[in-house]
Amino acid sequence: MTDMTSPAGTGPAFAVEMRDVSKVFGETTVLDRISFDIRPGEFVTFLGPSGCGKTTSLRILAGFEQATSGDVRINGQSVSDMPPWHRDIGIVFQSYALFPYMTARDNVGFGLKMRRVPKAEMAKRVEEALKLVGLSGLGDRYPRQLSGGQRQRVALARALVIKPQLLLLDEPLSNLDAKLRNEMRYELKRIQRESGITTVFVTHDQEEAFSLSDRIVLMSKGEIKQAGTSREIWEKPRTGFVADFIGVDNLLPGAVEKDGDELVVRISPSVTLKTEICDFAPGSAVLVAVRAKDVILNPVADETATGLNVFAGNIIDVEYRGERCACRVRCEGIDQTLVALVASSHVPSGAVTLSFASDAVMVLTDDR
Amino acid sequence: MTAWALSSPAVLLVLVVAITPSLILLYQAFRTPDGAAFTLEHFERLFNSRIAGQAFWRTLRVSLITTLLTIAGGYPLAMLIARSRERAAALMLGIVVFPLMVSVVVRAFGWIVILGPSGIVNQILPGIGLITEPLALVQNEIGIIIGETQLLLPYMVLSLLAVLRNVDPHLEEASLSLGANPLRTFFAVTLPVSIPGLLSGVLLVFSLAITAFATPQILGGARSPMLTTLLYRNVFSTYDWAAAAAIAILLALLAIGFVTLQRLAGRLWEKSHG
Ligand SMILES: Nc1ncnc2c1ncn2[C@@H]1O[C@H](COP(=O)(O)OP(=O)(O)OP(=O)(O)O)[C@@H](O)[C@H]1O
Ligand SMILES: [Mg+2]
Repeated sequence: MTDMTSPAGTGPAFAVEMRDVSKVFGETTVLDRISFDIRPGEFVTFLGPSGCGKTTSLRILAGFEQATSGDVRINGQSVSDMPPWHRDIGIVFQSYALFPYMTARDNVGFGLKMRRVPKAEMAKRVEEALKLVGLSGLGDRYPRQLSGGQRQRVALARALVIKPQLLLLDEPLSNLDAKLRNEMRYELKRIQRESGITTVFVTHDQEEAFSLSDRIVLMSKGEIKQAGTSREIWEKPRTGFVADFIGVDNLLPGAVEKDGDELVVRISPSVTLKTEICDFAPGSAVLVAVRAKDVILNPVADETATGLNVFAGNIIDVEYRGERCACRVRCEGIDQTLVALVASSHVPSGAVTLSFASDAVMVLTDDR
Repeated sequence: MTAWALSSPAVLLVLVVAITPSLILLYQAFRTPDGAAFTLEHFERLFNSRIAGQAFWRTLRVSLITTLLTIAGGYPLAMLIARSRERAAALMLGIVVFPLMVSVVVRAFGWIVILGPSGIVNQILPGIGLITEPLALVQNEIGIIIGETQLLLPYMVLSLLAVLRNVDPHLEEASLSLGANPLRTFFAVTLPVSIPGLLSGVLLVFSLAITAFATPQILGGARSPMLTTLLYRNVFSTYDWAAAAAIAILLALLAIGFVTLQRLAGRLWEKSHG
């Protein structure tokens, strides 16, 4: 245990440690050697497309699923042999899974009853939990007498009231309408901060993930592609998959080449892109990612324009995105169309010139 | 209007096939043998007959025990099927339902082969020294109960399965995560949500049990008549149609009484559980 404790000796350094956790169902590998640590009190989101293994990871943490190999520790203790009912974990399911024949109050009190908490204390804690989620006064309602958002809050209160070591949330907001979802998102963040419970949140909605999390674990096909703060992932996507997932518009496959002392990326027989940072050896196949916001669109066709990453092209499509519009431009010598953002008040058309700085060119592995 | 027009053939059929005989039955039960006047004498005879009294209580007893046994056997089976993967579940369900495709009479005789005085059980058990005298397993209530339990088990399993299959599996997981071990989870979560299925299974099994005829006739024998077999005897042995009609009405009342109880239980459960 000693090596697990933090320098201050206030308990394990990590609330959750996953070491090389794999999960195989029949012949399909659903999780492939996942390693990840979560600090006490952290709000971590497992983010990724459908089927990437988010729910499976959560179910392994909860004990409903056994890892095929690897080690899972909760508060420094290996839990591979610990059944769910000894793990002290709160879970909120996408379907809420409220006990239909129990009132909201009895639902929230269920975990305390199982822990044989004295009646008086139980009543007090249940009321506190209902108050925390803003449901005071609705304790006598049955789940079917509650709205989706209210059910969601009951489910949250039920998981929180036992003061779990770990709170697991599997897409708890996805059944709510957009407005309610935003509201609950804010509430969730507040409640998690107030309670200080280490939380793992699962979603495939990147906006949700970015707005809620202390840290994001971005997954794809059973692997962790990148883990970091929202800002880190947003600003420095580490692979092509990450760039694609967070919505970088311009993704161009290419190969690294040496051009004098510099490395450039050839994206077509006639076009190479200059870049500031390239961690790949010449000859490597890579994916170039350029954000639409970094592409400068000059509404004047400048056939003579030369220099770093400058292309003449024609606007073939305009997509309205609120304050900005995304212009899709076909450029000479590039197979794919490029996307640039312009103010919606001044949407150009016809022939234009595109350019972007070499430090806007991210060179990544193509692992989409 | 169209609904009426469309359903009129069905209504007519029900009138002819079901209602008319029932009315004739009612008429016979309350008429003197010459058909001249209203009388309660057939019911008096019934209530004063020791055999009829025994048959009534036996019917009630056998049906209740059968119902309880189908619950005891059906619950684990339904749970197992509901939890199994698709293929295994389909296979088990097939095995449970298969007996329904075999004639009731054939099955009753099958039980005689197994349970009779010179049946399999009574050859094996003395053989391994468990008993010295052959066990009386047929020609009595035990035989009827065994036969009917096997006969009606599929109905209980199917009723329970209908609800258990539709229960959100996350309910049990939520309970487990909140600290309830599997046993407590069963009693606190699974059992309550399956009550509606249990109630409909009970209704089905009990009403089929009190009206069963072939099984008690073959496995119960002459010395342990149930209401149905007594009724049969009145019609075909003593030609006392009026007494048979009175028994039929008693059976119907028993069924109605039970349905009322079941409805009440359902209503009560709903009220106390939202
Ligand atoms: N019990 C199981 N048996 C076989 N395969 C399974 C089982 N559970 C999950 N899988 C498979 O594992 C993969 C990952 O599933 P998982 O539920 O973890 O995905 P997810 O990331 O939560 O997706 P979603 O966003 O759609 O919920 C999927 O391909 C799924 O088909
Ligand atoms: Mg999922």
